[in-house]
Amino acid sequence: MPGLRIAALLALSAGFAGATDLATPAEKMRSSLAEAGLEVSFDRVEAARLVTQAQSAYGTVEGEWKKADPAAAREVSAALQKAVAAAKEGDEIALNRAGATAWTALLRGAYTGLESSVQTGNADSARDWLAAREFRVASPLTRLNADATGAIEALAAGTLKPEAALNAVRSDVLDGYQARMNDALRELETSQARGFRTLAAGQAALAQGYFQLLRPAYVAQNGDAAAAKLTQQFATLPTSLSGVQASLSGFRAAPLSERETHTRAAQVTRFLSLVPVEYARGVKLGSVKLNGGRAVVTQEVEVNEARTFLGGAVSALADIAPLLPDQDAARSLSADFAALNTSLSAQAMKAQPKPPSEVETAVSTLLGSVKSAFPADWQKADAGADLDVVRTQLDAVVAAAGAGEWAAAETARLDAYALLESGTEARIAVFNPELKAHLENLMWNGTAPAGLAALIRKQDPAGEFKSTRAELQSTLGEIARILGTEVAPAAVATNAGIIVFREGLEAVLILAALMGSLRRDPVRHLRRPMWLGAAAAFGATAVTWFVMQGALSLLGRYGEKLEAVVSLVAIGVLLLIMNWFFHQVYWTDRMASFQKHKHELTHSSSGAGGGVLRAQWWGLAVLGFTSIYREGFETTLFLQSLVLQSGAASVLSGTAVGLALVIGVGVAVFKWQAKLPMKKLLIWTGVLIAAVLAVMVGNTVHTMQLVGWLPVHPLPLELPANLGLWLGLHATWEGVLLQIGSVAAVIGSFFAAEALKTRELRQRQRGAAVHS
Amino acid sequence: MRIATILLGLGLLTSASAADLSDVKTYLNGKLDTQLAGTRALSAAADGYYALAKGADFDYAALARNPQTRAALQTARTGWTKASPAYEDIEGIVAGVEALSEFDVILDAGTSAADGGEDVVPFDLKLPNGKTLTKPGNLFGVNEGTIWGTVKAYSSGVAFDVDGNGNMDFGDQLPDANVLKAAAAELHRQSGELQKAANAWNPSREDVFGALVGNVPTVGPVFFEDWKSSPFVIGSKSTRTDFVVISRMSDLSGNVSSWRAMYRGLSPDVKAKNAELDGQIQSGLNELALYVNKLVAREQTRRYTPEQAEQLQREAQNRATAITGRITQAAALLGVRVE
Repeated sequence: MPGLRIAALLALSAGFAGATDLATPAEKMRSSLAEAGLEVSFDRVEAARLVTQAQSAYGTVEGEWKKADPAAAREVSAALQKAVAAAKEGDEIALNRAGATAWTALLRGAYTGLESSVQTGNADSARDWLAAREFRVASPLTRLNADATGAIEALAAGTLKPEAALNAVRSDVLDGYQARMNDALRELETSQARGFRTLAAGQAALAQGYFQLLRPAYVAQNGDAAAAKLTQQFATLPTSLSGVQASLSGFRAAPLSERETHTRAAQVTRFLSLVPVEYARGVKLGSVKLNGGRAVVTQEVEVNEARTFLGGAVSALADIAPLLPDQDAARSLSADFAALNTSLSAQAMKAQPKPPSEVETAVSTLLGSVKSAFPADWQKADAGADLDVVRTQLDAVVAAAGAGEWAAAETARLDAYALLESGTEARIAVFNPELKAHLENLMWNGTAPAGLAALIRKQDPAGEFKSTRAELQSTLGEIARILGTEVAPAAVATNAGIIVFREGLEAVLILAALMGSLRRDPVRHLRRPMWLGAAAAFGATAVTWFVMQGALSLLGRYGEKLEAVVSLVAIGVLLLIMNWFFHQVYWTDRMASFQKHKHELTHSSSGAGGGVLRAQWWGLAVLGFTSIYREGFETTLFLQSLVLQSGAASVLSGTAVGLALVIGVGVAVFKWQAKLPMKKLLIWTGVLIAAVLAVMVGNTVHTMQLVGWLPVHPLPLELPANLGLWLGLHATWEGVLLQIGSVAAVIGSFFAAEALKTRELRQRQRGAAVHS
Repeated sequence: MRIATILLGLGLLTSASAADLSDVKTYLNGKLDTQLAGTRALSAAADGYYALAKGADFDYAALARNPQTRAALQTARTGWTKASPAYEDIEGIVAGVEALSEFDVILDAGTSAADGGEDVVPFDLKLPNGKTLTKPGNLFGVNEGTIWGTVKAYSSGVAFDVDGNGNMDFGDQLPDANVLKAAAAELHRQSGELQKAANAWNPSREDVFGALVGNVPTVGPVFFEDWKSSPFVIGSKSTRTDFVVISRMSDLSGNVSSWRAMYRGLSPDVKAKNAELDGQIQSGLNELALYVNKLVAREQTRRYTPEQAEQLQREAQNRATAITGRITQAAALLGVRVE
């Protein structure tokens, strides 16, 4: 079987034998008729020649159409005849209408041929008919897809059955025709408003023709009677426009794939939110003295960009509006989008451009309506749309840097990073930590190529930015490839579980290590502030979760810096507390016979001893808080983005497993340490504290290097990213040396305490001997 | 998923026979030679004009009386008119390829700091008199505005019959010699830098496919959108100050030439996979070029109503869509991922 498949692929790769080019004559017919429609008001003879040219082009393939769909073929011929007459008479409107009818009838015939060929498993013929398709209107913002082409090739290779291939073909091709029908209806409305009679006639005929192509799907969903009524409504366009729109509400000719639906939903919000940004760049408020403070267009290019983004959003909404559960909301949303579209049209802008603040308010209201109308499932983060915006922001970084606008470059960089941090990073963190580390280095202060943050800080020349931008392009491509594959709920749950376990483990170990030393009765009460601190951190983490729901990208923007600050506090307190342990707790535990000191530690009644204990109490509480919260913040950020991606259920299940593991480890550690003899326990806790401190220092140094608070001097060797993830070991001199330094501090502190203890013991022994 | 796997498989089978894209570079280099010849002539003429102005102690009224002034300015105009269309012929490549795209901002697409936006040019222009024009906008634009006097600040304010036809027509004034010298020299220098970057660029199929599917759909929303409101379409009713010397349709015609050159590099691979598809793409590009060139030819004789301009744009975008759709299918058949 594998041999057969390879043979099939090789045969395909050698080219398609015996193919018939149906597409070129079809396109020639269409374009000749369109040109004739334009030419007729200037030169009737030339218009007539163009119509004849269209007839000739169609004549070369008419036989194929007659075989595939005789009714459609007759309709094409009849429309061409009408076009001939209209050209002779100089009737611009009739010629445009005839052209639209001929073209859509031809497309209908081609689609019939395509479906029949796929159903019979004839891939060669299907390929020919598919080539005569029409695509949804191309835009610089979106990419056309090749699903139908892929399905036909799979059919040819024998890896896809005709039924499955037909579904893929329908989904792709009918989606294009429905988009064309929606465009025609929308443009019909605009043309009527602008008094463009010729264009309106052509658009009405186009809409009618596309509907004939989609009619079988409409019949299947709504029945013959409804289809007959709608056909009648189409025939009386434009007067019946609102009736047509009402009858079409909720109709989708081919089911959009889940991926396509999510992509369109993301496009609606992403594109819409960019409209006021571009608009504000192109329209400014004039001087009160000169024009009464009215808005004036200063940059037509930017206004056009605003229109392009709005057009993209309108088009994406048209595709998914029929799928909205509340069709009243869908109609209202479509009407609001159309109203905004009209207010930004060239005509409306010529009369009086809206002030940017009004557009911003209108968009903000629309975004609110979108949020309430779209199902929660559609509002999950879409990696593709996110990465599109990230790419745009990165371009803005390079452009701003090139222009020497460093503040703008940094703003764009932070915007891009916030979007990555609040979604993409979390999703690749566990599956591909190497890629996450690489991405962070490129966005911040990495070397070879230099990170963007460093480049902006040093105000490097534009050329320097290019290599980083190019590397980011390929890294984002790799991320898109990884995230583009469907992520199973189990994988998301695993991801969430690992994140919770990894972050929780460090917190549990540090608490266990410190509390282990507070096992004995005289100091047992000092566990309380640590528990209270830890509980407060849990509460703060929960608050953070809710705050993040409203401002994920905002918090993502400051995430690294906040983490660095909290980590620094945690390390500082840990060092203080550790010092206190070695000098007080160890000393107290092992020198319990000296009741005076024990009394000081366990009775915080008054005097200097009480002050020390209060400080210790707060120190332990802060340590409990920071140990948990520094992990809690990051965990919340990551889990939030996973929820956006895949919903709460799988994330919560993974979180529950991760938490259970953390608690299990915690309980095991506490139980085990309870069985240890005191001396062993002290050594064990000392080692644990040293290990936890080293990991914490390593990760904090890395975070500080990311945000540019520490320099970066790379080691001459590469380390696996997992060492960074689990041990805080990153390949920079700063990280490694400070980690070694932190361990040395723990050991040094221990020996200092030992030396002090020995010295005091001797002093006391000498004192005791003198007194005795 | 299965479909994607198959497409990947098809791509892998042909990856060994990667396209020879050297023609794209040959085309690019040929046009760049023409561009550089034009900018060299422009720069030399601007230097000559500056020397004359300096000789007259920047007394432009006196300069207007110097018989050499007209020749210098006419040579400068000829140089610009040679260089600009040559660049438009490669703009589609320069703007679409990551490694070169910044030059498009510098040379032809960037805005001035005053205009703002995302594409402000990254350079300042130092004038021989010590003044600096901060991020003045793209260099072809600055030179155009100076030579034809459409930007007041770059003009001496002294009227002068540059074309020598005995009438005071559009652009008949003496440019500011300091601005012209600096702008022309910088245009020539940056054109040279582009040539160096183009030499270092090794085109990949991803580059070329990506540039095509990203650029071809700009026909309607960029080129026709600008053109619709220009004097070339609605005549004196237009209030535009840009795209007045050379029409946006001429720019588009040059861009279509770039796209055809780029596609020629991919054509053998596409043809090997699906000869009909290759023919359809070539035919689509040729037809688009004919359509645009016809409009260019008619600019002198026809004016359009807003409705007709709208129709022209729709038809152009339909043609661009057909081409883009087919190029997208070709990329998929070759297993090339288009970002």
